[in-house]
Amino acid sequence: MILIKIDSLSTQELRNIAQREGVEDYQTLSRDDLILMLREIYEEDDDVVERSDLNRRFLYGITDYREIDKDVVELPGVEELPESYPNTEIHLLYKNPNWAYCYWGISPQDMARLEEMRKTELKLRVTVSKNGTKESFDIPVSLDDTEWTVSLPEHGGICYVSLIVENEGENLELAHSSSLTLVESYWLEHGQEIKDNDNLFKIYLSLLTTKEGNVAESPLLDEILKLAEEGKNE
Amino acid sequence: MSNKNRVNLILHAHLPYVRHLEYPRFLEEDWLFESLNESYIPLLSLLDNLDQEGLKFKITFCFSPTLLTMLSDKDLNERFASYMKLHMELGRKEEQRLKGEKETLRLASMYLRNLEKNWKFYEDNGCSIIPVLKRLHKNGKIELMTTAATHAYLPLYREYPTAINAQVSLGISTFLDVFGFLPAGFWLPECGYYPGLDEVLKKYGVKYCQLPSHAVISSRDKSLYGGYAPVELPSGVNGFVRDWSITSLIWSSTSGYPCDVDYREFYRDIGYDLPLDYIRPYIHEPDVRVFTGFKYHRITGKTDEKELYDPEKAMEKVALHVDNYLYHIERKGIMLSSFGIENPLFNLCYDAELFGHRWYEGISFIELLLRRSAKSDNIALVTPSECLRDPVMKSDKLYINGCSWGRGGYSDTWLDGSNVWIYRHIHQAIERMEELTERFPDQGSLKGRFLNQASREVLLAMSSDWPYIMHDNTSVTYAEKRLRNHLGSFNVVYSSMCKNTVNTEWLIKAERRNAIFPNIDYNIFRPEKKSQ
Repeated sequence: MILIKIDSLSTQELRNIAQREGVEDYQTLSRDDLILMLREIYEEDDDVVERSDLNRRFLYGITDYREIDKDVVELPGVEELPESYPNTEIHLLYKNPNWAYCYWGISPQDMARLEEMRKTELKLRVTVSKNGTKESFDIPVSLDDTEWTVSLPEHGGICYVSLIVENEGENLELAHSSSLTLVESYWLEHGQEIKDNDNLFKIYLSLLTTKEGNVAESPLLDEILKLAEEGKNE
Repeated sequence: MSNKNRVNLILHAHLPYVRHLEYPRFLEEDWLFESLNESYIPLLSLLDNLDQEGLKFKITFCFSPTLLTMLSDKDLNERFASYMKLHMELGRKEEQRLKGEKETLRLASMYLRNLEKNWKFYEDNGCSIIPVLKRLHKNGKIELMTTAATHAYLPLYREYPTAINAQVSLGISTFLDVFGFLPAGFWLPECGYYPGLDEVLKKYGVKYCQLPSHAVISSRDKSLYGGYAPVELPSGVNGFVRDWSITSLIWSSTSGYPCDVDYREFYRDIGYDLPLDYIRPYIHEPDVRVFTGFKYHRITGKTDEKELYDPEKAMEKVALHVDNYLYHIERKGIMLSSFGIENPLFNLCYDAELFGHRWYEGISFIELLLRRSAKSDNIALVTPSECLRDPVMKSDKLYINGCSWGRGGYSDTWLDGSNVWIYRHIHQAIERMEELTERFPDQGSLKGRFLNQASREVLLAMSSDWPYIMHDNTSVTYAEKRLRNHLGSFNVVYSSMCKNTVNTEWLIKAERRNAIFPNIDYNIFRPEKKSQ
């Protein structure tokens, strides 16, 4: 994989990389052909987006020589990680204000029970509890699934997920996750005040805006700014 | 303090724990050696000189526990000596090779001089930068803060208070072991915060942390100072909000100062340009081309026809950029004053390795920034602790939502398609570690060592660097291998302890390989301890 913008490399550098990659006529290919060839080689492996970003950490070179790190010596007794663990459990991780990620596992005993049951359906129940009310929705999953990215329906309150088995009309909870506190923003709750706080918003935005006028990326910020824009247009 | 723009410059130095003595040279160890030679040593040498000169300046540094451990490691120190000698040899060889090319020769000599100067400074300080940090701190020029033990991205471990406690307490105890006093500040790895984390920090005596720039506008409460004053979190711990607008003058990968066409091109290096027969002794086996640090071209523009680097021209640009940087701060100060905010506080947080290593002219930028700030009537360099002691300083009491400085402002960077699989295994290891502490509490001797090593492996697996590398697609194979090794190693202990045995061969080798947190007590993972 080329870790940076390939166009910035010298022809000699390109030849050296091509040689490393086993391109036979690396010495005679033109610069354009070398670039084309290397792009093809690397894009076959993965869909890496080339980036020439000075802020990238942990670079030791221009390319990731894919084979050399495979030889890191293992300590005695170390085994491969298992694909799953023998527990029935579910975990919910906060990704951003709109999405959470959950993963789960079902113990061999529970799995055997499920397979014995007739007309069994497994589902993921997402519950949001806010201001004393609870709302849930179900996502059907298969026995082979072990993870899901869950859309968070709203801001505020708490959210948790449960693994539910529906068997002949009855719901049985196999596991439930701990709760995530969902974001709650003053300005999203008080959108009508935004237009009266123009100066305060200028202060806020001065912290978040580049000299070119680009505002920092954030889904919540986008929502607040949209509200602010709507307030101005009222 | 009179009405001034207060500038809190915070540099965060961190590298993952990489130490492979089983190999004569190891590729990823170069991260440490390059950072030492190109960033830490020149930066601290500069600050030492400015201190001796009597210049007034203030900077805050965070050196992560993994980095401090590597900086104190005798074996890695010997390897760094070899690295420096090898590169000085390359410099002398380059001087010979370039005898007929005056301009390039001048650049080769510049790099050789830098290497020699850096090595002398390092040797003069007992082959360590830690005495320099202590000296600058003692002289009131720098403030030192700590961070999580292995730089774990904490929001994704909020479900495990024992693991959070272990990361915070070992971060603090490592700092205490090295510097001899308790830190007031705790750098949140990747600015990763979640509600309640401040309570943990408070429990360990932390006074402040840093926060990402969007934390204020999106908070649960209405902020009056917009991030230009400290934020008092529910626990009473203070948060210093990063100014994205000013920091992006440097950080921006498209328009930041380091992109200037007159600055040195990072990616053009003789490690890639010169024939293998010549460069072979200075790259890695087997013929793996890497950066050597000898880079002779300037960015020039979007072309492969790179022109030779001109240090004098680059220094002219540094002066212009420092002026521009200060101008932006002062202009913002005037704007904020017109809105009623006096003495605004600008928290400018950067990776320390950006200066010198990734941005060659970055050290000169800092020098000029400090010199001009010292003379300025409008700028006052401050430290977070100084701000908290200042009776004039106002603060906002805010409830901050979960956030980070990663792309999008939340956890997406550390929880995407490339790395999401790791949490199932790391969480399981934490749960099993907790289980072991309950089943085998207060073990001494061999079992105690065995369990201590297991807790080291869990902590090392939690490092934010592995998912970051997977996300960033750089040394992915290595990151994955490391993660699997730490978790697999933990499983050696778990399986053995379940059979009430100790794998002594593994233990001896593992202790030698991952020699971090020498005083760790595995009981730190005991769930009962979470309320202590």
